[in-house]
Amino acid sequence: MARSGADSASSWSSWGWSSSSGKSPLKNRRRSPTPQASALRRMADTGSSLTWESSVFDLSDSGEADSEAAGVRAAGASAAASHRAVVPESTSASASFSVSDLDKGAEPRMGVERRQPQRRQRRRRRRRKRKHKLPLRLRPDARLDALGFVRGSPSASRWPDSAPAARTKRAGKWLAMVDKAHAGGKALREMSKAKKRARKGVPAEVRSVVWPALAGADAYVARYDELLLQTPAEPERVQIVKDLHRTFPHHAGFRGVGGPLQSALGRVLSAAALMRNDVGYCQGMASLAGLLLLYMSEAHAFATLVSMCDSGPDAVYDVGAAANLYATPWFMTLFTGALPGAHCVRILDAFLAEGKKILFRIALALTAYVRSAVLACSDMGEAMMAFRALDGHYDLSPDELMAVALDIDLTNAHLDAVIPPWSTT
Amino acid sequence: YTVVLIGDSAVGKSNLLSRFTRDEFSLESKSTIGVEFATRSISTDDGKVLKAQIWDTAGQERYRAITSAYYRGAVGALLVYDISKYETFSNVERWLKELRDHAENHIEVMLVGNKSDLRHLRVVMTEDAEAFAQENGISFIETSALDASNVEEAFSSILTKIYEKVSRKSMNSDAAGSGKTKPMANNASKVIVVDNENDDAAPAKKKKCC
Repeated sequence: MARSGADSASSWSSWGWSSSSGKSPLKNRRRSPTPQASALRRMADTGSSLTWESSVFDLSDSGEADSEAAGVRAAGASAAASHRAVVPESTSASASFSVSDLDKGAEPRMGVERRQPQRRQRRRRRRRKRKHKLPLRLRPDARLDALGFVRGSPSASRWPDSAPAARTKRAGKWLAMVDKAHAGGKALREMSKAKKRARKGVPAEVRSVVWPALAGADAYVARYDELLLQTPAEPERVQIVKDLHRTFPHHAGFRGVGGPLQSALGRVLSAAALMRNDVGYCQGMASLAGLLLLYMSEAHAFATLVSMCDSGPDAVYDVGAAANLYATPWFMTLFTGALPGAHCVRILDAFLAEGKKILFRIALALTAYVRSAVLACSDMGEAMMAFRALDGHYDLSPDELMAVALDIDLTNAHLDAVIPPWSTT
Repeated sequence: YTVVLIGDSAVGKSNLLSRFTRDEFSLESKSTIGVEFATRSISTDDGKVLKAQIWDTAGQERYRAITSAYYRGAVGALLVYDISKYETFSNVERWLKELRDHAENHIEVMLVGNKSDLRHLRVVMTEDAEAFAQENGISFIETSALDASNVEEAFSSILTKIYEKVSRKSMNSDAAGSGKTKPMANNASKVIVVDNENDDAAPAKKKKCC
């Protein structure tokens, strides 16, 4: 048991994000001058993120003994400054050999040195192979849904993703549109078809490219490395660490103490808190960042998160802080607390393309969904419970929810009429 | 009765609540964003049924603006800290001040040291917490939401205290006429107290059928 835990831990840290992410933005810049090429690279990156699904699942299920130590590691890792030192250490501690041994130039153990070239080749070969696979076709695991949430949990989707053929077709259109926007020097969200297409859903395979592009995140990607060298103020750092194991407790990558994506999440959150001093870290950001990390590298997740907080009056956290009782968690986490992951990514698709109005549409659609239950309540508390009863017991598929939400007659004028008194709070 | 759960982030407020209302505990719980809510009814020794409405609040400082709005209607507060994290105990004073600023004057407060199952990680001594509670005139209990020890006791003791306080008050304001020492002794036995504004001078009783 301990053996399998160690194995999957090593496979994660030597193949997954954490070892490559710190450097990936630099690599991107050097190797890929065109956006198309960088898009492909990021697609490949995404592939690597999703390969761990099944192995990780085993780790968190069986490796109880390891997980406490991993928790300590994750906690340490989130003190962003030390991340490079921490990750290699953990790797070398749990596996007999790893990339980080090479990086550090540590004294090689007996017998290891001779085998290095072979291992390197094998690794290269595996990497090349991965590049050509679509992320979601990799290692399907019956216990997990398409996003990696444990089936049967409130966050898991009970509906299949759209057909692969349709996704491939849409993916092509999106990539072409990204290119076109880049060539014309326009922001992707200003492209005429972006909104319409985003409402239909961005294919999972290209979210890693499309989301940062929609958010206009490019400017921030390069800041990530530098911010990792700093540590946020003590209360924020402590809060971030406290929330790591409470983010997506039903996701294969996050569940348990020291789940594999948790250290990455910690780094992204502290970098974001540093980047936006005025916003800082806010509970609720964690699951949003977590959702981004399912698709893209740490640096891009960070950049996307920051630019989402950035969009002036449209800022997510402005709206959220003013929202009332039952809707607070909806807005603060972009519905990740209430809806399955598959719904949330669709909402995020549309949110990035068209802004906050879609959040109100969804909130209204959900309210309409529980309307009769809420109206039957005699006090505020009961009504609150009726709203919360939604969690995990929601019968509309992502497509149906979007259809209901988009059918609601809601204009900016409606919002303007409601929001000003709120935002003064 | 409205009771609020307050205290630092990740001390186990939500799990205390779920243990009390649904007898559930989960290591895989999410952070609370804003406020959550649950109810449960318990019966007192003298056969009254008390309906508790419990608001569970987010611990992070930045949600204070939202959560403090819920102190106002509350007649009781459970101030929770984690016996294995000292800073959560040292922040208790801040939370008390917060309550004094925002809550009713007569709010019943109980200090709750949660996670008592983590004996080997204990850093806050029971005696220290007891002394602190005495100093500030609040009650104190140690609980564990994980193994369910003292959770029931914590909630029922605060609810009983509130009940006694409220009925004493209503007796007083009913004027000396009745002159009973035992509160509500000759009321109908099926009384559920569901009133939020218990601090009103009016008798805080409502007849309601379950």
